Amino acid sequence: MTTDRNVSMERAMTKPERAEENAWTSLNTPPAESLEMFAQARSRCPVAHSQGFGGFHMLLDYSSVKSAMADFRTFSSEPRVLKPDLPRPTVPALEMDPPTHGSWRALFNAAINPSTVSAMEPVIRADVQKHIRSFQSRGSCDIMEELCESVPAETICKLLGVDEDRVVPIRDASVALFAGQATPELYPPLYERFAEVALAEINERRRRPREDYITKLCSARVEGRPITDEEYVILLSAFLGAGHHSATSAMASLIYEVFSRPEVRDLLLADQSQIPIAVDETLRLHPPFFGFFRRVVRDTEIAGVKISAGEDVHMGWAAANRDPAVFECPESFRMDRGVNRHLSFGLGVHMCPGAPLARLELRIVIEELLKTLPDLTPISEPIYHFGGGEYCSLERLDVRFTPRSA
Amino acid sequence: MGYLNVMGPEGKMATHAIAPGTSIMETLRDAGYPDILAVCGGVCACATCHIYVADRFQSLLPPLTEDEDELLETSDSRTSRSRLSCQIIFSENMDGIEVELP
Repeated sequence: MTTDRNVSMERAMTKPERAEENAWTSLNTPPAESLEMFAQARSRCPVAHSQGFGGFHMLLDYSSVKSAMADFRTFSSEPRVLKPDLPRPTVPALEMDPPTHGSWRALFNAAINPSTVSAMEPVIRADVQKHIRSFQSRGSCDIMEELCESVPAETICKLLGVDEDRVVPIRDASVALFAGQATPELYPPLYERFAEVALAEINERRRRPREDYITKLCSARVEGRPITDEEYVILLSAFLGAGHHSATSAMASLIYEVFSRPEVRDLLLADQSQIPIAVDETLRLHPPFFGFFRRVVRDTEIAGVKISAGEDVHMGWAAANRDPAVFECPESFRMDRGVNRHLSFGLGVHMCPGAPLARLELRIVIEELLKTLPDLTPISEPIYHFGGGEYCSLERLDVRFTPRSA
Repeated sequence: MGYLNVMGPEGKMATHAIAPGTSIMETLRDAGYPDILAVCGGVCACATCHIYVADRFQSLLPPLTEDEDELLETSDSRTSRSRLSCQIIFSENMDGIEVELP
C-alpha cells in the first residue's frame, strides 16, 4: 500500500494556482489568497458565486453566515457539508438535520460534556508535560510534530477509551483518511484501512467490555435501533477527524500567535486568566475549517440575493471572522476585543460538540509552555495549506528555546 | 450571594447559591445538570443552555436580542418563557428566581 504517498504526490502534482473568484474552491486556491479574495468580493457584495464543485453561493459577511447557520430549516446539512463528494456514508449528526440529528448528537454529548471535559484536565496536562519533557533539552524542534500532532489525538483516544499502544495506528489511519478527502479516487482504500482499525476497537469491546465510552457505544441505540458496523466506522472517524485534526491546527496557530508576540507572551505570563482570550482570537483568525456547505431546501433571499431550493451555499466562517463590520481591524491579533463571537466552531444546532475540550487543550498547552519554555520563539514563517474538506493548517512550526534538562 | 431555584426534569426543586455578575448558565453547568452542555462557553452561539423562566420573573430579564431569538428558534421546545441562560447575568433583584429545564 502506498496510499499516503499517492495522496501527497497527487497534491504536489496539482499545485494550486490562483483561481478567479467565480471558480473558487479550497482545492484551487491556497488559504492566504482565499482570504484576500473573500475580502475583495465582500466589499462588492456579501454573497458571491463560485462555479467550482458544480456551482455554489458563498456567504462572506458575518451577519449572513450567522443567520444561515442558525436557520437549519432553510439551510440543510443534508446530504453533505463537505465537498468534493466522496464515496462514504453520511457523517452522523454533522450531515443530518433535526430531528434525526438529535439522536446522533446525543452520542457526542454523552462523550463530551462538562463533567467528562473537567475529568480530562489532569490527563491532558500530564500528556502535554510528557511531550514537552521529550524535547525541552534540545533547544529547538518542529513543535507541530513534537506536540500539536500528538496531544489532540491522544486526548480524543483517551476520552473514548483507546489503549495507549493503539493511538498511533488509529491516528495515522485517520490522518490519511482525512488527507484523502481532496482526492476522491484515492479515498476508498483509505476508508477501508480506517474501518479496519476502528472496527477492531468495537469488536474488542464486544468481546471484553470495559468501563469506557467505546463499550457504551456498543450497546447504544439511535433512532430506536442498534448502530450498524458501517455506522460505527463513520462515527469513530467523526470523533477522530473532527476531534483531533482541527485541534492540531488550532494548537500550532496558537503557539505561533502567542510566542511570536513578546508583548502577548509577557501579558499571559503575568496573567494566565487571559489565555482564553488568546485562544479565541487565534481561532477567529485561523479557523481550522474555512467553512462547510449547506443545501437550501426552500427558496430564500440573503443580503438581497435570491437563492433557490436545491442550490448549495458555502458558510464562510473564515470570511465572516474577518468581517470589518463586526471585528475592528479584522486582520490584527488583538487581546482587547471583548466578546469574540467568531464562527470557527460553527453556530446553532451543529456547533462543534468538542469546543469545550478543544479550548481546554489549547489553554493547557499555553500554560505548560509558558511554565517550562517561556522564551520559546517561532523561527519559521507560518504558511497555511488546505487539506481535504477545507481543513487549513500549518505543515510545520519550527521553534527555538533555551534548553532545559529533562 | 443570591439564590437560584431550579425545577429539574424529574419535577424536583433545588436551590443553588449564585454570585451576582455571573450567568445563570454557569451555576447550572457547574451544578452538573446534564442537559446544560453550554457548548459555546456562554457567547450566545448555540442553544445548549436553554431554560424556562417563571412568568413572575420575566420582567427582570434583559430584553431578547436578535441573536438569542435566532438560536431559541432552533429548539423544538421553545415557549414564551424560553431564554438562553448564558444571556441572563444574575443581579440581586433576581434573588430567588425560578427556572425550569426543558
